[in-house]
Amino acid sequence: MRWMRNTVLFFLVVSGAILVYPHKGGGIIYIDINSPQIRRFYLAFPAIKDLGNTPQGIKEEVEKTLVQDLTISDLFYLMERVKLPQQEAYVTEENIDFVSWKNSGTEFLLSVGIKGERNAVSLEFRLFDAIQGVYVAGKRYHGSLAEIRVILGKLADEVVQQLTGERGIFQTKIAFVTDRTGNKEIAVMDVNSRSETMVTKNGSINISPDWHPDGRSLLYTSYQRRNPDLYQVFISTRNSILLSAVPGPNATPAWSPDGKRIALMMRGENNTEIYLLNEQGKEPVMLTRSWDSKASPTWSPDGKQIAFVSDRSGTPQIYIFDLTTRKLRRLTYEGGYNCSPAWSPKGDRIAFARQEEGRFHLYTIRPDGTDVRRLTKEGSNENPSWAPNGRHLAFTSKQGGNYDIYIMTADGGGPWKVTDTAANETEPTWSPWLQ
Amino acid sequence: MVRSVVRLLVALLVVIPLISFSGCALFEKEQAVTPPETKMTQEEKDKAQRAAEEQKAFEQSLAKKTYPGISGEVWESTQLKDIYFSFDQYDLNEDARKILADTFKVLAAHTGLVIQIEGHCDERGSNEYNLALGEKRAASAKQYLTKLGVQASRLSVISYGEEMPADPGHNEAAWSKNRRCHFVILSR
Repeated sequence: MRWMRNTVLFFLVVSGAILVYPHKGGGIIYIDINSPQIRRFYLAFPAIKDLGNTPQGIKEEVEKTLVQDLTISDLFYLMERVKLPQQEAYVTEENIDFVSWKNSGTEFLLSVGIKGERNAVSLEFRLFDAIQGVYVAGKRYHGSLAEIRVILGKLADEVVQQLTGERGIFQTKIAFVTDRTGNKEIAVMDVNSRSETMVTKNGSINISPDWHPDGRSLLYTSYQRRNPDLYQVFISTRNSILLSAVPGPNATPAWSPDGKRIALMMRGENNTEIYLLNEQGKEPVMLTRSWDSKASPTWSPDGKQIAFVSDRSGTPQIYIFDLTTRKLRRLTYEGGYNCSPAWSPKGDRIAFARQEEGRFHLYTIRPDGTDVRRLTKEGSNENPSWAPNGRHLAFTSKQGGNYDIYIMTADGGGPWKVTDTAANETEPTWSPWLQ
Repeated sequence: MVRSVVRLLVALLVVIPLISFSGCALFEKEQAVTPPETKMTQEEKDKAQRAAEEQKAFEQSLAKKTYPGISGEVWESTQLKDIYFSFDQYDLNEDARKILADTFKVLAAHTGLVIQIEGHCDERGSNEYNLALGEKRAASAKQYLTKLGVQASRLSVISYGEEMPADPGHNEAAWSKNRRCHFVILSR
């Protein structure tokens, strides 16, 4: 019976992802990522078995990426290979010896097989619950060698989805600013940085990228016309259009969650104010009006409030403007310099950077001003940006001579260094869900 | 040429009434009028020469400047000096006000100048907030120059935030040079 099901499934698989077995977990959520203290599970991930004809180097590349993704997902303790009953294995429902895995301390077992077929590759995984002795889930993927990164993103996300019931972050991207060309350009990379694309190449100063909620374009500010103007660049074509070029800053843009408005900083009267533009970047409406400097608006996920930085107290602090009541309230009181607010897509926290003894550290705070928590320990850390899962954060950190992009989780996982170049990589901004 | 014709006309305007009211005093009056006129010419000559020298010095103080990736060409003048600020501050200290008074003189002497005031910050603090701070610094300088009497239409403002440091270093010596307003000439 079992072999029949297996054979039938084998022939059903053509491309994309198809479940190898119907999963017996029955929608069990093993890991609740919304709980304040996530219990991380012991995961066994034996070395990938080459099931035949895999082009050279691919197996290693796949394994390296998966280890990185599983680490960054921050749901597991990856077990040392030497402690596993099999260091390299292709484990199936037929050949699994649950007892030996359980005795090694394994809670979950992830087994991956790979097979090469001309210029294509077949990849499959099986996930087992070693404690309960059950098969949880599995899928087989098929695609060209060029698509391998996409497949790996899907695979990693499926594993996370099976265990948490929520979407993973490995099919999202991070936009950022790089000065590797000697100026500042906008680039987009995979979450684990193995693949990246420059989306601007104009030789000017290009800063403050912000994703459209549909994930297909970015807003950014560029000085090409000797004014900080607002542009929109489409990721697929890398074509940029000028949206707003009012004299003065058209800067620090933030698309509203419904994509219909753009909050940004524009010139006031000898200062900067927060404005709203329509989605074409036109018809500016001034939201705030006072003498102080304002910058860095960020929307609450329901689109009803905007947090931003103002120095009206004498130092930069974070304030929240309610678009319904038109009332402004101060959010941060401690610290002499609080900046770069980023409202979590879940709405429950706002991340920001605070200057302390000449360095910056990342914090989160509830939108009601309570429960301030420091996230970072080392280096100088700025520009937090939330992943769409509301758990991971990308930020820029200077731990040595230059700035690189790091990822961590709001509950203390990481940080993991994502970019590693001699140049400065700054202002990361995490895309929405892209799939 | 024009100037001597004007002088002649002025002289005639002075002389003709003298002739009509007291014909015999003509020579005396003429003599009395002539010396101050020669003196003024000398003064004006000096002044003209000084102006020419100043203009020459100003021309020599200019250097064309283009910024990579930014359209257009501007001039920098060694006569337009940078002003400096404290960390996270935009108010003008005494030195800055003195420099702006000199800047005012340059603008008053060369009325065709249209300048752009660039607000800059050091690398500390968020890039985004520093854009706001640079704007405020440049606006402070603009306000002061306007108060001194420069037409606002001759002064434009741009904030570069921390994007264009004068000194790429990462210490206070560099930072203090980077917290500045820089003045460039857009047209003259």
